[in-house]
Amino acid sequence: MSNLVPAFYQLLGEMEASQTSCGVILVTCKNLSKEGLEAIKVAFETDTPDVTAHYEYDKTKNILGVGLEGQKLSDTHFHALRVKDYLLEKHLLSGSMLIASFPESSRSSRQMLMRMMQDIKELEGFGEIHIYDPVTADGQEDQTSILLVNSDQTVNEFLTIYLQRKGYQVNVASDGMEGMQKFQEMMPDLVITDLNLPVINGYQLMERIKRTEKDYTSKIVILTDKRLEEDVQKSFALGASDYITKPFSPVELEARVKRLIS
Amino acid sequence: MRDFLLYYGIFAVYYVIAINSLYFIIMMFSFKSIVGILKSSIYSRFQALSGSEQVPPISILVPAYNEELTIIENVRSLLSLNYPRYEVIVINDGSKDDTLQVLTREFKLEASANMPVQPLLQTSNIRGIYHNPAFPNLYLIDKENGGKADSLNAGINVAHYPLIASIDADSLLEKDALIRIAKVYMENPDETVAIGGDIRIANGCKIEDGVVSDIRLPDKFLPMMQSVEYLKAFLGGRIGWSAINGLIIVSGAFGVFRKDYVIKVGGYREGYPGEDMNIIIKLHKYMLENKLPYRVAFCPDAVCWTQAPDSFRILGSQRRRWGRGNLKNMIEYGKNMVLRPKYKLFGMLTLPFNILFETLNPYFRITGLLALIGYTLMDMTNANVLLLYGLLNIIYGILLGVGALLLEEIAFRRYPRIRDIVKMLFYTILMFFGYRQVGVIWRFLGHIEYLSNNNSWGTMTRKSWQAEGNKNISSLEARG
Repeated sequence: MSNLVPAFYQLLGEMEASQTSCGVILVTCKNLSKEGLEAIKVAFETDTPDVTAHYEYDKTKNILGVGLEGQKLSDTHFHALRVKDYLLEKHLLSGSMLIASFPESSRSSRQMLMRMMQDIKELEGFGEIHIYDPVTADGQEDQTSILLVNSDQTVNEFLTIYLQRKGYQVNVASDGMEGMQKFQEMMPDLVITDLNLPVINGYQLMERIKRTEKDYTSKIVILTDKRLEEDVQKSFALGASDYITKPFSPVELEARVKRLIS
Repeated sequence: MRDFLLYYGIFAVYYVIAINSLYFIIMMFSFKSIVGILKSSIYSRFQALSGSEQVPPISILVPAYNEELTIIENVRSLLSLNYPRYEVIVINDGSKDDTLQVLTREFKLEASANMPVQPLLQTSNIRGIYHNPAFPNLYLIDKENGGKADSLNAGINVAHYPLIASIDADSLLEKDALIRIAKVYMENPDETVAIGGDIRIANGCKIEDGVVSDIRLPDKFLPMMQSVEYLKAFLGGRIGWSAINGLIIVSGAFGVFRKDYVIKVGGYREGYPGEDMNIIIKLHKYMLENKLPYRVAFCPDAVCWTQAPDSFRILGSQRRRWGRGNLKNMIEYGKNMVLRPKYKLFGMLTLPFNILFETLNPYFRITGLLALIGYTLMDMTNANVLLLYGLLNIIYGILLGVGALLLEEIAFRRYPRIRDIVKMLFYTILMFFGYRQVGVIWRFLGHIEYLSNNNSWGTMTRKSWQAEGNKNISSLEARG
């Protein structure tokens, strides 16, 4: 599990709340050790003492992230050049860089980060600095992201295809634990979850989502076999926005999702 | 003398042939019904069933004695079963550790003053019932120590629902175990009085968040032996017995009962091991005496994972306890019911089988072997009889073991890797070189303990109140 995304989420969240700008640099680089990361931190603290920067490294994706408090896009670009030089010197660079700044590049800092994480994987070249393009992203930004948590593979497959054709961006998790991880990674606009799930059940998933998301913008829709009034009541008590029982109509489901999101 | 020894030895050989042939017939019944069981479970929609209003509610009873280390995890896992309406009743049986405190702290349970307890069965003093509205289906009963059976009775007094499930506090249920058992019950709710679940050994499996996530065979020798042994007993034996409605035991680790009949037969017997077999015998007896149609079912796809003892000392104490319980039940009930036509198949087949081949097994086997050895020492002309005895034992046993493995592979395939199958085969054979013999000796020692009036539960588990408990058969039971 990387700590890049959650750490930056928190940082961006704080920045967004205090309405200060914030620059983000993502670099594809070779395997960085803890010591290597520390060395970078120290090098830049002495080099640019007036910039408050945060450095995180994602081991699984080999991405180094730099968060710059209070920096606009131009300053971020300047800083990125320095980071590039440093990494080249140490022979750590292995791909391109992607930079952006909030609020210049995107209205929602978290979404911006998510998109950046996806975009950097597709970047070609070596050592080029790309600026995050909000135009193409904004087209995507209108896409509502949905996280589908269900242990029934058939339902997952069917709903994914159906909802994608309706223009939603869909991610799937097959158990509660995976659901929680995916939730933290993508911060979806809407979660459609079953209550009977392996490892963590739907109720525990809802509770954890509540705990991680203080301002709580994600809507939760329950799609389940459970028909007891106790379950319906408990789900709404835990903050579900809607409750749909199987067997369900996909048309109705989509209509309800649409109403919740608009 | 020599001749006597020889004839006795030959008799022992026939005994072995008879016992194994019967096992074999029972296993054939297992094979016969496995296909039906398999189809019915493939075509059942358990997911849909687990949310249905039509499923009967169940009260799960969890007797806990000194379980502070594992109880939270287990209760959490029990609270997240896929089942529409059920309650979990934990009975703290006067634990000497912090079982009660740990539970009340974790689930913020409060002692409730006005919780109705129906005095259906006699139990030791209940000190309090704890509940928290935030966990509406969790109850905790705190009572003075009275043994496992007594705890179950207390749980029955508090249970709100018509079905009860008894579960060991150290076992884990699969999420759909309860709904699978309920399906068996719903197929014939009028006649089904008890349903047993399949017990498997959890040693070696990876357990995360109270769920068995990665099914592996145990690494250690003893748990591995027990794994194979359980497979044989449950798949090879119990499916067959339940097919002819002659099941004599539903494991205490996981079974579901009709509450009304359990109360009618006087509840669980107190202060003595073997309560799981005892309740089933009493149910058979009651139903047959009152000429009611009934069945005791077994549901092989409802799985309960349990921790097997991995040291000789603890395993020995468990097996001696089983031996004691078995003998006690046979002396108390068996001898009055055996071979009486009134008790139909149960009296004519199950009980004689149990007495001859389970209870008295050690005596025949040990004496038979001794006779043959004695005979061979005196006179070497017929040494082949001894070899025959040994070979028969082993070959027949292996055949049965392989049959059980075959059942497992046909129906369940919990261990998909070829390595595991080979390992199970190897242990099935290995079982006959030492492990089985030690088991027979343990059972024998259990009998000796019983006859010398040692009625304790044994190590690792609770000590029952030895004084007046076993003499004092409650009036209900006498009537039963």
